[in-house]
Amino acid sequence: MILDLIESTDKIRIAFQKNNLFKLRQLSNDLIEESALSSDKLKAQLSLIAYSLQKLISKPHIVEAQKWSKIKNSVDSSLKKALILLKKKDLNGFEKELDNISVKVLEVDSSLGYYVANVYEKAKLKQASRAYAFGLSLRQSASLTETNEKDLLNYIGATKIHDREKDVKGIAERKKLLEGIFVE
Amino acid sequence: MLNELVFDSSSIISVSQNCLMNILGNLSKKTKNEFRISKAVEFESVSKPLDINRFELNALRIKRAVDLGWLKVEEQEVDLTEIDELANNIFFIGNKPIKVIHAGEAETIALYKKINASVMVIDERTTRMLIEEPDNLVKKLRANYRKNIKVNKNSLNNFLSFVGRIKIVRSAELLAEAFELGCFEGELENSVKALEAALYGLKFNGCAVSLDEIKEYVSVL
Repeated sequence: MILDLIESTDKIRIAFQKNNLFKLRQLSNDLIEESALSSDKLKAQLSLIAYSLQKLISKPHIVEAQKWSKIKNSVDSSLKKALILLKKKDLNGFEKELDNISVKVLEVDSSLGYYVANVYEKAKLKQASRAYAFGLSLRQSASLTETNEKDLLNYIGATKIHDREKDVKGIAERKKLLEGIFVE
Repeated sequence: MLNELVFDSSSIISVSQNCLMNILGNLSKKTKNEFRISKAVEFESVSKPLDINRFELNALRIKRAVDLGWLKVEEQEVDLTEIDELANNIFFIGNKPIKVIHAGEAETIALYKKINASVMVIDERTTRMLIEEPDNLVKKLRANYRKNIKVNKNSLNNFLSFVGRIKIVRSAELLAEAFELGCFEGELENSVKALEAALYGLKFNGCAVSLDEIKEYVSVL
């Protein structure tokens, strides 16, 4: 497990250094899938970080901002530190460092972003909805990325997840199950 | 005869977000059925969000239903251990079980069993699939994860026989039933258009119903 985390964290760091949006997105998706299968919250958190970093570097108003290079260096240092902690098998320290990175993402977003709903919260929803679409239950998916169930329902409602796979019964047939239940 | 319907948090949230709680209230009162939620659902959809400004309004809508007495909270703790263990030891990747449902969903099933309810109302899709069509759920998991996901048939059979035959509906079917029984009164006009709008509202707030299903249903009304 630690070896997986080391490899993924290193890949995220390299992709972030190279501003490789595609790779970050791919890593984020791979990590949320792995975390859904193993209920591994650290992998889920790494997935959210990869997703958020990809979102940040995709926004010209952020990467062209004066303070961006300083922020980028700071995130890079945290990723390096996280790697060192992992190599020492210090999972608590690793988790704290991931928390630090998510705080940095939040700070960038609140100082340079345009929206109230921040990029990290959006990452939680996006990746929880992916876990749900792939077959986890709603609350299990929400719990994986620690997002709110109501927000997740709203997010899923705006996607085509439920249109791609129709209910085997349909409204009329399922409603028949209520026959004899609602008698006035 | 009094029937009891157990609601999962997904269905209660979908309904309350669309301001359709009064319609459910009308349905409950008119037919004298009991609508129930577990303590954990109450906590997740009322007590906890009441302290978060963004979620407060919705929580108050559900709280009102509880205060008015047509939505009852099961006061006693429900033992969900067995359902949780059975449900989450069916699908495996290698030797590791895949946790497909959360304790919250397991608790709703446990409450259904405990009170021998008539219907379970759940808007999310996976729990329903696990109970009604586990073969399709495993196909879906395999296709999406592109991994060799194994099924422990023993565990699956134990789970299915433990939960028994559960009648599952979504909030969409409850709304359709409420419409037929004239329970839209005081909240929406009693027209097919109003039902259609309400069903779309539920869908866009997360109820696992497709646009085609809605169109198909209202087209024959």
